[in-house]
Amino acid sequence: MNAKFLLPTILLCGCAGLKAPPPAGFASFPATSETSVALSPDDLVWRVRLLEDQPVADLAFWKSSLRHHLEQHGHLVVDSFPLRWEGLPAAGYETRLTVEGRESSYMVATSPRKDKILVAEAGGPSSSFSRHRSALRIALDSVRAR
Amino acid sequence: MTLLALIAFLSPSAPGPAASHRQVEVSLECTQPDSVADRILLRAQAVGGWLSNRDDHSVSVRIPTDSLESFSRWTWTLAKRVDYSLSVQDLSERISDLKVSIASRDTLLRAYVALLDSSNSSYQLRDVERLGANLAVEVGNLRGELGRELSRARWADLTVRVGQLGGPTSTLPRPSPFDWINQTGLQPLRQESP
Repeated sequence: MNAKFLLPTILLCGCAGLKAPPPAGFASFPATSETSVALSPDDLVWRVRLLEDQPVADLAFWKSSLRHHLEQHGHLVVDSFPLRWEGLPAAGYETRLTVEGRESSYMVATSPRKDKILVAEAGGPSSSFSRHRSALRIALDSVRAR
Repeated sequence: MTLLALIAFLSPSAPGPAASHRQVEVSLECTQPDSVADRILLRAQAVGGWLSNRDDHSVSVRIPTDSLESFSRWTWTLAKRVDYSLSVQDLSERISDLKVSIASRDTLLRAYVALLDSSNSSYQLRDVERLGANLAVEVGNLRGELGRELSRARWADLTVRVGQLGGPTSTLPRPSPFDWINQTGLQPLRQESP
């Protein structure tokens, strides 16, 4: 391949940073190397971020900290699930909580990467969440960060 | 029935994930803590539960596990919720082990009884009787333990700490010391939505 085509191709691939295709049925905002956001027509938000991991800690530590934080803020953890991102272990939670009198659902998964941490989230009204749960889990499995 | 047949018979009825002991702790703040504690107690009794402890700052009730989630949510409507935690202890493996232990001892006990019926040796009979008696006691203890574990799976513990709104014990959820976690959650996520 001609070198002048190679560089744009690499850039378009987004090989550096985040790769997080939106869930089926979601519309995405332009992604950056560190954030990807998409919305569903029925009020769900999908967001994947590659953040600074400070302090640097392992998955067990962040899993525990995240659960503590969620429960402190009124989330009822209804599911805790392991997953793998590019062969590395990640941990996810699904929670429920009431926001302004409305039943809401939230899903979050995280995996530390050296000095970064990869975090994928989705949330919104529980009625919408139930409809999109399968698509969200598929999208969650597809998250990549290099 | 052979031991293997008994185990096979028991396995399908081995409890699934529902066989767990659940404990919830909720902290609330309100202007009338006593009134809130009274309402919690009344509702616990209405769902078939009972009071397990009460003091100036908290009320603890034991309620059917099936009612725990809706009950916890209901308490949030009574006052300002400042804290919540749920702990779940999986009992399914212990219950399954106990059932298998009981079944194997029952089988052995039946074998002893059959031996007593058929044996003519008084020495042998004495030994078998002694072994059988010990085994029967052991089975009784295991059945008692199984009953306690099944009861723990059926009943959940809910403790509600009720503080005076704005009082000296007033506590609000503190932000996490970790930056990224503070940006994580439904509220920060929804702010992402334009």
